[in-house]
Amino acid sequence: MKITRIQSDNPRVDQWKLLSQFSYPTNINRFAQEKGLTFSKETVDYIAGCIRQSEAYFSAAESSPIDISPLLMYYGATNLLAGTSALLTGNKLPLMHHGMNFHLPVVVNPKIGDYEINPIRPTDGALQNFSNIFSNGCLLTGAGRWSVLEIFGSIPDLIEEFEICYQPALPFCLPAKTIRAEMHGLEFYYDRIDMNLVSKYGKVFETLMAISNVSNAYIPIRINIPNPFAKLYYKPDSTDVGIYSTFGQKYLPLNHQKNGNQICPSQIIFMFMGLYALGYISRYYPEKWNPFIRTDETGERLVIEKFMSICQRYFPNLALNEIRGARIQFVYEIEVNPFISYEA
Amino acid sequence: MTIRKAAFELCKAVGISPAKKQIADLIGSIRNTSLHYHGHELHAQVLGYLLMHQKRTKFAEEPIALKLEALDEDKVKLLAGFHRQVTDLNERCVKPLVDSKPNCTYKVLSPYNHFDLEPIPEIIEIDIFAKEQTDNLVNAFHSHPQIKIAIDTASVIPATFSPEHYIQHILEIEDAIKGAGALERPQEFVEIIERQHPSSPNRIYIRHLVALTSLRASLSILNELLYSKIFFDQLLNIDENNTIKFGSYHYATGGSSVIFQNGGLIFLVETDDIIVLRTNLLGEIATKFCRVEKLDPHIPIIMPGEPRYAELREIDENLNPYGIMFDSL
Repeated sequence: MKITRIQSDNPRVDQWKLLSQFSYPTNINRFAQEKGLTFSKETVDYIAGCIRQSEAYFSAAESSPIDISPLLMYYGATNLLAGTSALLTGNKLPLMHHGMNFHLPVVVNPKIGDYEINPIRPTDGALQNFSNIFSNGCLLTGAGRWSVLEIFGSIPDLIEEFEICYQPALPFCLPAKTIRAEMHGLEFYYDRIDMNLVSKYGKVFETLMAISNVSNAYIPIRINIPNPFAKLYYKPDSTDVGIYSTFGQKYLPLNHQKNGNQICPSQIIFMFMGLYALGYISRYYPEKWNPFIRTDETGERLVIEKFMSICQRYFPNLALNEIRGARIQFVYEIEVNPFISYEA
Repeated sequence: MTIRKAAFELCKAVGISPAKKQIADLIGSIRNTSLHYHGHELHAQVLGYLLMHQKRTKFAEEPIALKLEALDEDKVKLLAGFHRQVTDLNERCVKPLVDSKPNCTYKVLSPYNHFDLEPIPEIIEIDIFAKEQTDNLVNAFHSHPQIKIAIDTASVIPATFSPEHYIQHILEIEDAIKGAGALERPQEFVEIIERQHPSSPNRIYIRHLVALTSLRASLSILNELLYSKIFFDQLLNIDENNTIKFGSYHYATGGSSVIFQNGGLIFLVETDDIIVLRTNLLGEIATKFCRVEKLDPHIPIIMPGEPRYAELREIDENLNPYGIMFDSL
């Protein structure tokens, strides 16, 4: 995916300015024309309505207390994915259900991370339908339950808080850096991973092989244990399998073992699942949610607040990436004029 | 049948020959010795071990002494026996040329003509080359286009031209080729091709010498293939599983540049190795047999997984690494 850098001192606002373009029928029809799609009037109105409602829900969530903000943001996320799906395909998805069930944990004194969701209804459930579009058709239904902990551990921006709160659990993505190298005038790139990080997972090679789409993206991995880095060389014409944090740092997602299958939904789908889980607890289990947000002593509330903050900032950005077919990176660069000298 | 196919058939027969194990075990038994390391460095197959063994006393007396292990007499005899088989095969391959041009002796065309191995009085005869496949190879080699060129162009060579003259000129051409590398033609040949008429005496003279150089190189490739069959059993690959970046294919030389991922210690590419290159060339997957001519890092002490740059030269179906480069000569 190509990268588009947009100068901004307030990405939260500016991403909605870009998305809001699709709340106008003229812009939607122009987009359809560029993509060779034909939209009915009903679809155009549906897209415009979804985008407008989505922005309103996100805005309401931002100014609401955590008592209700997860639910509001889940509504906003649902609207945004529904509108974006229609924009990308030209059709309104046949959604009749959230596409997930919520399950209370059976352990004593559970953390929020222990709550689970179970993807269901592959044909008319929102989750699987969105996964078909935003996660390369990753099949979630029938693959088993997902704990909130697994979801949080799959979001790059949340890794630091995740590792502190849920020790000894390890995140489901590895920080990586793309290195440009040259030998005899031949330029090549590879992804470099810190071996210290990988070794935390125990078996180094097995962990690297659990990177999602590893064998499609890279030539067979050869590692040398004393080397501080594992080097992953791209196959010719391979696509980037990395996921990116808000600030553009690269992470390589690890597959989740589900019913014997290795699956790895995209970041936007993980956020959607997480928002559903938190929205469900806050909406249907206030007797659990309220004491947690008032009296949490474990620090998990910080993780949840950070998750909400990430979704507020990055979820619309990820939807925008899908529409634009590029990774939109909001940057705040101050250009310093080298010809002006400043007095100390 | 092409020479390459016949050579592969012979290699296959060598692979199942009972004598193969004898030689492979012998080489395996000296594998981690200094003798093996330094012998291998000569890129002269089994002759390398024999040479280093023969000179080990002299090396030990030098100011910076090199201590090489001594081999049992039987091992020397067996290695010498195998080497004799190889040189006999080489001699048979180029017999039509040697017969028609007496001053172009087998020694001129021998890939080992720059090594001075003292005769080994007693050898153990081994029968490693199956008759049918050997005869097929010899027959195929007799149709080597460079044999015909060498015979057709021999008239420009004075009768007084000695085998030593030949050897000296061939080695000069080899040096020029090595100096230019796998990706470029030697400048002196570019000038000849561009400026001299194909029927000019000088160009015919060069064509004759290049034909001999090519024949010698073809024998060298044949010998390396046979040795590889015994020692490694199969050729190393540079393909989609270890190619980091394919540079380009040079049509003028048959050379390619590639960055590949260094393998484990067992699968280590070295210069002069023959490898199979599988790459996407102009949208099509092409398989080429190549000789490794340059490596960076050169010394194979880099760790598995590290990138390594290689320049390769394609070997044509006549086992000639220079066929593509001098096609227009």
